[in-house]
Order: sequence, then C-alpha cells, then structure tokens
Amino acid sequence: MKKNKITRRDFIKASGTTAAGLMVLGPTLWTNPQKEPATTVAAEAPEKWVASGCNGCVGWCPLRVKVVDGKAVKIAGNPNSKWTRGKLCPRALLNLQILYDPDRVKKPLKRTNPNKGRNEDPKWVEITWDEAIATIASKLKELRDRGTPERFALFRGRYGAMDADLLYGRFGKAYGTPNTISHSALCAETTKSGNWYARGNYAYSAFDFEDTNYILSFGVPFLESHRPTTGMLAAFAEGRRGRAVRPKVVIVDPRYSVTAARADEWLPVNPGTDGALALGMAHEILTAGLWDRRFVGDFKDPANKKFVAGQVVAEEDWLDAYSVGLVKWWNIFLKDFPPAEAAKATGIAEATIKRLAREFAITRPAVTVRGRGSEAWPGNGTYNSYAIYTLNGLVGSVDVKGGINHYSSGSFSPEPIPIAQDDTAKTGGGKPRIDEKKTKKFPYADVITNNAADNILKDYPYPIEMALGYWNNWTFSAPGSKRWEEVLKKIPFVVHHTTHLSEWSMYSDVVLPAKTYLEKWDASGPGGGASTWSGVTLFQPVVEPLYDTKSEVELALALGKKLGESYPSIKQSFDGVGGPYGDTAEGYTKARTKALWEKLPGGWDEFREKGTVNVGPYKFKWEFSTPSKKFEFYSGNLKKLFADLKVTDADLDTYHIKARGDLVYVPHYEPPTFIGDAASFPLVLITYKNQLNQEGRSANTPWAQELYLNPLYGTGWNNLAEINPETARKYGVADGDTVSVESEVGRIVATARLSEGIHPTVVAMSYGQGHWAYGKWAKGTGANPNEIMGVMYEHITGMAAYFNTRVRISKA
Amino acid sequence: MTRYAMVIDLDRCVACQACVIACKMENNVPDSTPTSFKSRKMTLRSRVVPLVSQGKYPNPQVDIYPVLCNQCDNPPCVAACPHKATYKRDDGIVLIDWQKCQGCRYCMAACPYGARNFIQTDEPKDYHNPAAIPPGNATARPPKNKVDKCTFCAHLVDNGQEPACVTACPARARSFGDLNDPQSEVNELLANRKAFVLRPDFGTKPRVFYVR
Repeated sequence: MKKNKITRRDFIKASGTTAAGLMVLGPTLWTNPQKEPATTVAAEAPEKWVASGCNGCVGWCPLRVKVVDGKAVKIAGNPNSKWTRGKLCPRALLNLQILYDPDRVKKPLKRTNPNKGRNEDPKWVEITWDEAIATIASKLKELRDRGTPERFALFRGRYGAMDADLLYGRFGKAYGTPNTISHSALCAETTKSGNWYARGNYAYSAFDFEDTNYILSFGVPFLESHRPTTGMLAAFAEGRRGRAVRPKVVIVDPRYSVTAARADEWLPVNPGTDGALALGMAHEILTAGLWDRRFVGDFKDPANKKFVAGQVVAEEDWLDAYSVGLVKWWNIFLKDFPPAEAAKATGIAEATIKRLAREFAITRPAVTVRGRGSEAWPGNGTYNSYAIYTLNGLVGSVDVKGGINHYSSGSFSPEPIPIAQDDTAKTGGGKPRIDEKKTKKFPYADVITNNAADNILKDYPYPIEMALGYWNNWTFSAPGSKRWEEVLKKIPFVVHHTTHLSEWSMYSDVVLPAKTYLEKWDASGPGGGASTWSGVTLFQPVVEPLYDTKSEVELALALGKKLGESYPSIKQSFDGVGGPYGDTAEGYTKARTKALWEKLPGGWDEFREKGTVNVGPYKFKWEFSTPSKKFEFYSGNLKKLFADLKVTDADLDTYHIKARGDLVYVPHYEPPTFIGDAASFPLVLITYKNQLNQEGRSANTPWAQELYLNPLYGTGWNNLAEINPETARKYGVADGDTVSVESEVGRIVATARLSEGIHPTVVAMSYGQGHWAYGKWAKGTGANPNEIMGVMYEHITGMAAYFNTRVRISKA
Repeated sequence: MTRYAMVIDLDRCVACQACVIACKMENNVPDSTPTSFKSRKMTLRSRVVPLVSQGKYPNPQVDIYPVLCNQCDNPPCVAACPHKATYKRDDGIVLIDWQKCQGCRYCMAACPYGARNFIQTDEPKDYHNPAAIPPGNATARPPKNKVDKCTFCAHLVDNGQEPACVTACPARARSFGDLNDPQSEVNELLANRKAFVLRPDFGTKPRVFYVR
C-alpha cells in the first residue's frame, strides 16, 4: 500500500533524468499529488463535500459534490475508488447543469389535449403526486380486476440497481405483467453473445487495460463511449506514460474518432466486416504458429505438424489444453479464410492484416475490445462478436493479467422480504411477452426492446392498454424512432417518469417528475471493467431535491403501497421491503447494501462518507461455464440452443444468418446485411456516441452543446453529416452545406462536414442530437439519425441493428 | 520568487474536455447560446481543439491540443491594455482587474492565441461557485461587458491548490508548478521530455508548455 502513497512528483524524481528513464518505470501509480479535501466535513459547515454517483452511463462512477450553502457548485472524482482511479469522465461533470436545468419537470403533469402528435400541444396541467398516483393506480386496478395485468407494459431506460429490483423487478412481478421491457437491446446485448459462446457467460467483459500491452478495438471508440468510460480514460493515459511498456492501441472503425486520433493506428474497415479482420488474423496466428500453447493446446507432434492454409488437420493429431474446438473451427472455416480473403472483405491490406496478427500474438498480454460498431449488425453481428473474442483465446489473453476477464461488481444483500404473487399475478406474469423474448424468433434474447414497438402496433400477442416508462426515450433513441410515436398514440394510457419533457413525455398522458442522480438514493456497480478492480457506488442526495419529485425507488414504493390497499399480495410485497431501516428509498438502499457496509469499521456512516467500496482485485482462473467447461472455438451453447429450438434453415433466414451446418456454430465471416438497395442508396449511415452524450440526456446542457464536436471539428451546438471529401465531390456537396440524408425510412437535414477520417462509403453522424423536445437548448439542435434508420435485429440477442441503413446524400 | 507554469502532456491527453467543463464549473464562466456561438463569440477560458489536421484518407492525422491562456512571460495583452487592467503578477500569472477593465477589447486583439473572451451576459447560474473570486476582484462571476480569461485558477493556487483543469483531468495530462523550483514536476517534465510552446516566434514566452 505504501507504493500508492508515493506522489507523482516523487515518482518522476525517482525516474532519473532521461526521457528513457521515464519509459522504464516500475509500479503504476495513481495517487494525485493534489491535496484532496475530505469527502465530507461537519454537516453544519456551510461548505461540504458529499459523495454520490453518476448515472450518465452504465459505469455508475462514484463522485463527490462540493455543496456551499445548500447549493451544489462543483463535481469531482472520488479518491476512494480504485476502479475510477479517483477520476471522472467529462460526462459526469454535466450533472451539475442537469440538476439545475430550468427546463426540468417540476411537478406531476396531466395531459388535457387528447390528441397526440408532434404538433399537438399536450396542454399540461399540474397535478399533485396524490392525484397522479391515484390516477395511475386506478388504471392499473382496472386492468388487473379485468384479469389482464399483462396489458400493462413497464419500460425501463437508464436505471440503478435498486430501482431495477424494486420497480422493474418487484413491482412488475407483484402486479403481474411479463412485459418489463428494458432499453438493453438498444445498447449492447450482442456483446454478451461472444462472451457466451467462447467462455459461457452471457455478460459484458472486463478489459484489464492497466496491465495490457496491446489494445485492438473493433468498432469501439473507448475513450468516448464504452463501459466504464472513466476507468478506460484513466487506464489508457497511464499506459501512454508511466508504465514499463507503452501498450500499442489500434482502432478498427470506419470513422476516425477522437479515440482513433489518440491511438497508434487507425484502420478504416468496410462497415460491418470487423469479424473478417479478426478471422484473417486468426488464420495468420495459426499458420505462423503463434498461438498460445499453454492455453489453447498443441499438436501431439509439434515438430512435424502445423496449420497449413487450405489443408485439413486431423483431430487425433491435436491435444487440447484449456480450449476445445480449435481444429474443428480450422477445418470447418478458418483454413480457407487467409488474410487475402479478409482483405477482400474488409478493405484492409493483406500485409497489414498479417502484421497486425503477428503484433497481436507476440505483444502479450494483448486484448481485443468489441462493441456496438462491430456487433449491432443483423446476422453477422453475433459472429463478429465471437470472432473478435476468440482472438483473445488464441493468444492466451483470457482470464489473465492484462487480458479479457469476467466482470463482477459487488453483491448486494438479498431483499428483506420475498415477492408475493396472487393468482392474477401468476397468470398475467406467465403470459407471453410482447417482445418475443427467448422465442424461436429471438432465441437467446433477454429483451428485444425495438420489437415491442412493432408488436404493440399489431396488438401481438394481445393489446397493450397502459405503459409506464422511466428514464427511457425510445421515440428518440431507437432505430426507426418514429414508430414509437405511433406506439404511444395507440396505447390508451401512457405514464412517463422523467427529468425532462422528452419526445416520449410529449406523447404521455401523465408525466411524473424524476429526481436527478444528485438528489436520490440508489446504489450500483459498474457494468464492464477497465482493470481488475470493480466496486459499488452509493447514490445519496447531495442537495435537497429542487422540485416536487420522486426517484424511481420512491415511485415503486408509492405504487406498491397504493395498490397494496386493494391487493393483499402486493401489500405483502411492499410492506417491510426496507427491512429494519424503513420502507423509504434510503431504508431500502441501506438494507440492500448491508453486505457491503457492514464490513466497514464505521458501517453505514462510513459508507455514506466514502461513497464507494472497491471490489477486487479480480482472481484469474481458467475455469469456464461453457458445456465443455473449457474455452470454446466451436460453441456448444449455440449448438444446444439451436437443437433445443429445432432451428431450421428458414429460421436462419429470419436471423439473416447465411451459414448452414456446422459453420453456424463457429466464428465465421458473413457479409453484412443492409437496409435499402445499393443502387438507390449508395452510402451507409453509421453513428457514434459522442463523449459528452449522456445517453441522450445531456442535450439540454450548454456545457455539452458548446463543446460537442470541439476536439475533432472545432464546433458545437450541432451534429454533422461527416463524409469523405471524395464522396462529397461525387455528390456535389461542399463543407458546411446543408444536406439531405435520406434512407428508405425517411429523410433528415444536417450540416455536411468533409473529413479525411471518414470511410468513402459511409456518412457518419453523432447520436444524441436532433431533439424536437427535451428543453430549449436541446430542441432543434442538430439532426437525429435514428429517425431514418430501418429496423432489423441481431436475432440471437435481440439487439437492434444500428449501422446497416443505406442512405443517399444531396445538397438540400 | 515563484514562477508558475503548466506542462500539458499530449501523449496522455485523451481529448475528453473534462478540463474545459471543470474550468467553467470552477470559475462561473458564462455559457454560449446557439446564436452567440454562430457569431463566434466564445465563452470558454480553455478549449480542446484540432490545431493541426493533415494527411489524406486513410492516413489522416488530427493533433488535438488543450489550449488556454499561455500566461506569457512577455504578454502582449498587458502592453495593449490602455487602462492597466491587465497585469502580470510577480509569480507570472496574468490577471484582469475587472474594476479597471473598460471592455475596450484591445487586449483581445493583441492576444495572438485568441485566449480572451468578451463577456456578453450577467445571467446568474445556480451552480455559481462563490469561492472563485480572482485576486484583486470583488466578484466571482465574470461581469458583463468585461474581458475574461484563464487565471491559472489563481484563487486556488494562492490557497495551495492546483488549477481546476489540472485536478479534473482523468488522464493526469496536466502538471502545474514552479519553474524556479528545480525539484518541481514541471521542471522534471521539461527536462526529460521534448517540450515546446505554441508559436515561439511571437516572442511572447508562454508559460504553458507542451510535451509529447
């Protein structure tokens, strides 16, 4: 521990006086020499620091807020957290302007204009919380008493672990609807599939950036948006200077992002062909004999046997170590996919692919990062995920220091009381879901967010009569976002719990004002990881709530108690849910985090002061939860899934999967599937998540807006249609022109930006702009690319396709 | 005698702009609007911008720099100010006395780095930080019709702390310290790394250094 106390100044002094000295330093040190103020001081003092958390993404980073005379004035990192290194990404700082945004919803609102549409003024009337809860409860009661609780849908956007359990989980179950639909399949579900095939966990990954020597990222500008962003920023920077080895960073992406600008190499791959690059590399690693024998295994006669392009390997010549299926994979697909084939698919030169493969294999530990850009594709997305993941296995980077690991954050205490379900709840909860979760159509999906829209419009499998959405805005964020406007017109009674009047709110019948992150109780641990450390962040109010608001936990308690007056099982599910600490948001959070704070000498008070507990370091083990209990290059999980469901060729067609036979179960290349024909729509629309985009919720903060595109383009208050100058010439577009971007689905108008960092076949746009509601700064700024995207899925995981819509551009 | 300087490590910088937001948060710097932004009326004391964009597809190279007032040893803004409102302290920090500033903006014309802004609004903010009063002034909020610039967070530095951008940087890309202290981190970095300033040909002798 003493090491961590050496200041950065000491660190540099100790390093000698040459630049070379700086490069060969010993331990990674992260203590900031800055004198950090205590996390909290006496409550009576006019100035204090209070610990809480950021809900700007799935990182849930701990932070501290300086409060002067009851006002939050400053947000800073929490030095108690190892997984964020006491730091914060820029998004977390925006919370101050979100908290004090004058455009926040301040009171519950009731719609008085029954007509719904973009140009319809809802004619909001302020109501009390009592009236709001009573109105909602009476609608819920009506559905329940009719024996159709499944006709109530609960939609979840951003959340914390407490409200996920209490509102999304407990309330949904006790009430009796199977239709709890989260945003996850608009986020990153496919990334879980690569993990599931290769190592058996359907989960995100933790990348040990602090100890890796090579980062190869496919479709992920991880300095701008991945999970957890703060940890990734901090670990990347420590890797640039201050470690014995400076990790090489390579970004594979059709767009030159800020991350690409800061990386060592950028490879503009043809959109949707990331998997081909990984597979060409895998072929090269095997034929060059550079795989990790200890992890993968070896030929029984290594002196005389090797992988030769195009030649079958006999299974009996091979001995597995901690993996299985390598020879099968080679024989089924990989032997015939040399770097030259990969070059044809990806547009990356054969020599580059070979060099990359060799670098990746010999610069260990080397790790691949995968994400939306390479995975949110119909058909081949899940195979891209698998192919990219298996590179880690080939070079022995799975579950090792500097590798790709299973991620885990802290465990919460069990809920103090069980969920009670009466017959209505059991029957309703047992009905099929409107998103067709884990049906033959979406075989392993936990949720298919975007499919709920189409099914609600078709009344399939039954009509939805009421919806409660919280912190979601799929009318803005889902591909084909305009369909959700039709959905909300169709559902007779729509409730939205939100901080701002978003595009979803504008179609709602009752709007409930939500607390911001800085005003509420909750707790969460980060999704994914950037090091071997994880943890849990406590959210607590840093200031008195500004308005007449409730948090999601408080909304669950209010609804549970109200309906408990009519239904004993719901009463039973909510009375005593906070255990000994009371049925409040604080009580529930305290009860659920007991397992964490009871280990601290100062207990709950110490947890509140520190704001976080660290979990780790991760313990490496080569034990996997696949059917073979080994790392699988031939997926037993996928094979069993398809066998159990009796998946036919017609089903594979539905999934946009072109492979047949054994090829289905191994990482292989499939050309991407597009929406729109190439003759009419010659370009591909790809989007990215800007550094300052809090999942779409920062659009009304001037701080985000004025800095939005500064690092690459020196501009703000906009997003741009970014195109290659050569492409622009072809279509008669000049820099700064107002252009029309048009797909089969629709047309948006944006400002053109010519950039040498854009693949000539794509138009790139930042996600997060183009609101037509959400507040005075958000409204009318930029354009929303989601509006013109077509709707497709990566069917195995239910993930919405985001990058495969073909478009054309012209001067508007 | 203390001579303050900042060294920005471009190799560590992740171009995230946390420094810019932390600066605005600490110093109550007003915000732009879409209209003021269009007329290029900037309201940032510091920025993260692409200073050099070169190369053709597929080999573009954009060099992104955090930029701020260079706290020049030979500051043209001080010479240009007819009201002696802009001055250089003994420790090298260049400040503006808003009581003397008449808003004539000669200093803005004189600054070759575009590091100064004219304040267009006195709209109060709820997240106003009352502690951020720059030395020599009576107010924490840059007043309307005055010129504003980076102060190296002199109010924090005088209190033994570091500038807000240094503390906020998640990449630890910024170092702040005393050039006259041979043991300081800034001197260590300048001695051990390839250091440069922006446009040395201007003769302004910046005290914001960059290392690669």
